[in-house]
Amino acid sequence: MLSNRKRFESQSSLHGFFRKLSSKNVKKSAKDYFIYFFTLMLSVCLFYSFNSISTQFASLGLEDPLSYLAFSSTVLTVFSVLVCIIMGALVVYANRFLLRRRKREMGIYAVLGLERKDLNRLLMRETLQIGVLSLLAGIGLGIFAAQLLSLATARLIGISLTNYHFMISGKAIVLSVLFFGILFLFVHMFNVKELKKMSLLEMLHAGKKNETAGEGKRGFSVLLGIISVLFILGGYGLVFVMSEKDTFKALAVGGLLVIIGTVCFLRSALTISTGLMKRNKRRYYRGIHIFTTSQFTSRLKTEGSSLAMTAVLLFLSFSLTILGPGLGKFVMNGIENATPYDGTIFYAPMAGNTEAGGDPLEYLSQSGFRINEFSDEYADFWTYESPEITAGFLSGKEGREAEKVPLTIIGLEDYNRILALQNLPPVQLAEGEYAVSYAFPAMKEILKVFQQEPRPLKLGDSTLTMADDGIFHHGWENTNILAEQGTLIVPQHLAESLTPQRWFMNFNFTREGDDLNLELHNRWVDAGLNGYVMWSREEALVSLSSDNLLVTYLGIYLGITFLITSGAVLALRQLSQSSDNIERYGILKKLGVSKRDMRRSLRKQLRVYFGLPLVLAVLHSAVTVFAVFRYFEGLHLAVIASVIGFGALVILSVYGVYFIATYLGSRRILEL
Amino acid sequence: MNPVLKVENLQKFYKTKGAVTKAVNHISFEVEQGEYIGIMGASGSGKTTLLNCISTIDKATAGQILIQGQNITALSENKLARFRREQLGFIFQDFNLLDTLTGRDNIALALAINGVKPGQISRLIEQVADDLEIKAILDKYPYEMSGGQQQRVACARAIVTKPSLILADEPTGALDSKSAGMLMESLSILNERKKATILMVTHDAFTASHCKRILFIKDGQIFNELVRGEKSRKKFFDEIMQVISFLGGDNNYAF
Repeated sequence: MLSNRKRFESQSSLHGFFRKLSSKNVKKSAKDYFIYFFTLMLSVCLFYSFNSISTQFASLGLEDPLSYLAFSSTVLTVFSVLVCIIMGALVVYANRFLLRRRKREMGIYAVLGLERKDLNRLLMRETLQIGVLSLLAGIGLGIFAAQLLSLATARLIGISLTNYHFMISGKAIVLSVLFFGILFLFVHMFNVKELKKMSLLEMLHAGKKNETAGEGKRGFSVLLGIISVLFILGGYGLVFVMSEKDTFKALAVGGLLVIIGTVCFLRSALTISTGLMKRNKRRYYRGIHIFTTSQFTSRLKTEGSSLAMTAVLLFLSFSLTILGPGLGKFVMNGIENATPYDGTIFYAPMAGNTEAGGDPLEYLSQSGFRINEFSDEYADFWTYESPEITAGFLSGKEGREAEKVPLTIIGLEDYNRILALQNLPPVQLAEGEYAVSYAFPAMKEILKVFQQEPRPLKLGDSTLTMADDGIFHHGWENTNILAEQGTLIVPQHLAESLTPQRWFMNFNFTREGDDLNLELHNRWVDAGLNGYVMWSREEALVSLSSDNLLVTYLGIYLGITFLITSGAVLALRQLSQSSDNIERYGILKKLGVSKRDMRRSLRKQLRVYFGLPLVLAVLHSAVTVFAVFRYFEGLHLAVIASVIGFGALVILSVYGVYFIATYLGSRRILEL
Repeated sequence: MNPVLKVENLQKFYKTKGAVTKAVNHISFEVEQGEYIGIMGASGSGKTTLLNCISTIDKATAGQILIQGQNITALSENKLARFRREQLGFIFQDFNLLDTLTGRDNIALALAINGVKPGQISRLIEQVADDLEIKAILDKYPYEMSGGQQQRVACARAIVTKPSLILADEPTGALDSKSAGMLMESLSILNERKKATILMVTHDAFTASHCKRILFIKDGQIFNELVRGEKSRKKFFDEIMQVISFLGGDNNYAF
């Protein structure tokens, strides 16, 4: 009985000891943990902000009957799993790193008689403390970041802020706690495993190991360097030249070549450049140049791979942060012509089955969808195609798959009827003439070229020439995809001699109603029409905006994730290097090197370690971005510049924070 | 002739929560050009604190330290760094060679820091390597050398800049007796042939017996002084042992 009580007492005192020790450890190493904490906080903040999108919609008073926005926010949540896995890898890496630095401390605890079980508990307490702190700080920061994000969302979707109110997303908080809770559990499991692997001897003698500094094989490095440059240039070439045919394949293979090249380049670069630095004795023997150079040579092997990892992650980060919003802008480019009507219904019969359905308008009525209930202003028409007249006719290019799609042909009278619905003047065509119409900016340049040398159009037996000023800028249907091949307008009888392809009906509401769109939508769903598609103006716009939102946010979300990862990996490595360097800088100090000179040497080293991956990443992403932006035809230069400027600003500022934090942290560690 | 080092009434106090520890308590002495002086004392006697003050790594609480007539207690941080590299050479217990540099580059670093022209550096290194017989190990990294070899490279580094004073802190502390003997030979060479002024802190009587004069420190004060003069080293060693046993006997009062 007594012994039980005693054991209990000793246990509870051990408990208290743990609590004190762990919180003391966290406090003591708070500065060492700063980067780790900062990274965790930033990731939680990012995670919360992008998972609170659906709450943002609600706070903006945005309705979403077709769940396009809900879809976007779901996709972001799904990608959050990927983000979490990346973050998890980073956190485990960082933690293992920090744990290794504390081997000795753990060894002393073990010598003093703490069991493995107790050590595990100590570690768990620390993990928990940091986890809870960063979770709280991250969610706090995230709540404010989400407000900013919802302002951006409002702008992207193009709605006013009248309904805006401060919001906190319970769902995002629950998700953050859940995801990061699991993550911390994993971290703890890895910690336990790592601790298990260490022998007591190893723990106590940690940090006493001699470092084997050596010089890489010069010849091999030069060879590797040459190969790496070839790989990188080959990758660039592939991205540029091959992407004409098969964009995604070219980007993937080219990107892979560039990444392999980068890894080889960084592995060889340090060896080659320090070799060169050593060869120039005049420079080598000046001031503490010898020291600075040796700092690089002693870490060639290990640093090469970590620099390569940073460069690759930064490259992905740059590309995604710029291409995401860029694609978003491209998706929305020409939106003013996307919804000329209150609604468009279209029907594409199966090939050779045109007559089977009879008159589509009648079929609609029979199915219970009577357009007259909503509108007296409507026009229905068929579009036609001729297999010989393909997109290449206008673009002048052959070969690409996209150029083999037949062009849409509309009869002049039909075309003028739908223009009348927009209160636009009719198009005039003489017999034997045709006109071309386009809705979106991408076609503008192509048609400018076409107008210089218009080709004659052969339809059956007749040959048409293009009318003077025969190029029109019209939208003639509601659509949620702002891409087109151009439309040909030909005399009505010629069009009708071709095979009808698709049936369209454009309409404007002529009835007053509180929520005509919702009524229309419900009626349409009730009718359950097969093969028919309707785009009301509202739906088309929401669909477009949610596409825009999705690609923009996905790009930024993943981009920043990669950015944080690369910054944290680099910063942690450099900081731990700095602690390894305490002794070396101590020797320099005793030898009479001034603090100013040592700081200069430190800056030089950090500049190389942070700068080298940055330069490579900027080069790679510049090529990639440029190659991809070539396909975003019709996008204004100012828009492109703003997208690139935004990406560069975000990345450089976060990367800059990591650089400065590393420099200041190193100075603190080295007491400079 | 002016003394190379003049310590006047030096005091160094550490304050910890109400209690004051007098690590160095009113110490004064002088070191002449070309002297080889040892400072002995048990651990905690204040000898390392004294050395740290002289080597400008620590700041004295009161008193003056003059090296070549210059009062180093009044110098700013930047001037101190400059002073250290121009006037002082260091030999440490744990060698303190940069593990990332070869022996040659470790020595070159000290010269480069002092702004010696790159063209002269190689020549100076060859010279000092000849004197200390370390030519064979010059291009090895510290981890490829034995402790004695590392310490001799450290000696070369300390002397190559021709400092006015070489400070050695327990230089044989991490060496076996044979290596320690070889190192003391090297230091004697520096002192006799190169006319280097050496101040060495040690608690090892054998090591101390190589010095020409020895100061004994106890509780932060100079307790005794021995001069070797023309005595043989064996005789000097016996004298040192006598003082030490007397010093140690002091402790017995506690029991």
